[in-house]
Amino acid sequence: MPVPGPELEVVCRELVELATGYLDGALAPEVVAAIERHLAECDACTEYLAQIAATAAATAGVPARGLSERAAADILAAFREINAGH
Amino acid sequence: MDGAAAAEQERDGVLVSRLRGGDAAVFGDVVRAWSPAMLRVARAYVATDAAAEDVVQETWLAVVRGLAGFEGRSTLRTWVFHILANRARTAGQRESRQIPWSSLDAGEPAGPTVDPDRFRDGDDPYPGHWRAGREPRRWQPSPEESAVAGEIRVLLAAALRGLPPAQQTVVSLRDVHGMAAEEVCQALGITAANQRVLLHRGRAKLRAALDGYYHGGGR
Repeated sequence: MPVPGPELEVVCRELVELATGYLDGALAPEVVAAIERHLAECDACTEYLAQIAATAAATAGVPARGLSERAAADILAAFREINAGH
Repeated sequence: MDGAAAAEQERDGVLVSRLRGGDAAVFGDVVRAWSPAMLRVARAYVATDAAAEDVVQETWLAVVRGLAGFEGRSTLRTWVFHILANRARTAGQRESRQIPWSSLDAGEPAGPTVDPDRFRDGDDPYPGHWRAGREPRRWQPSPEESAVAGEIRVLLAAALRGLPPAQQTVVSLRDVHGMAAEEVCQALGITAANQRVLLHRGRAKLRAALDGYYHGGGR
């Protein structure tokens, strides 16, 4: 039976650089586990992660440029023309 | 195929047949819904907003012409964004503009996104932990509270414009337009790892900008 090795540990300075990978679910399970062990004991890192998540959520509210009315009308006209007779 | 994927495929099938049937209302909805993200992708390849709009318009015209021949081997959206990326790349080349994504952040030093000074160093009994007094401080009220949401939106829009181009593109596509990581990678022709680094660095800067709003600069 294999002897379990020491558990992976993540310190604060490392965790902040793993924040995006963690929130994206892109990290290996043992790294996720190490992060979550650390978060359970570290209010500061918990806050940092929450701030990254809150930033991403707030960024969703930034207005984005759409097509001009003219361009949209031209595109729709082309669609109608190709589909004339339907 | 699982239930969710099957449902998505069915919805897509209904959408395609409506469009092939000439349903202009549905087509208008799709154009309005998808064009902002398409503009953002195109803008990564060309020099101006006007050029990006041309690319998106050309793309939709190609979609309209090609719809009859679309075989549904991918979703409609994947197909549309594939056409878009090809057209954007061609337009960028015509402008003699290379987009070597690996070098767009050149000049931007690699390295930690949080000032190393904020962590205890090797001499400390807890190296790598936050230094006392340099930990992140809570944001109150939280950014989604109506009292601050408007100002924060303006601040983030400005901070986004201030990011290096590659970071700005990825953060916009992921966080403003809500595109999935995989879709962003395909649209820009970058790896998952590259995408994550750009998103990480961009978001860290935006977080710092928000922290400046709440607690003053210098953190």
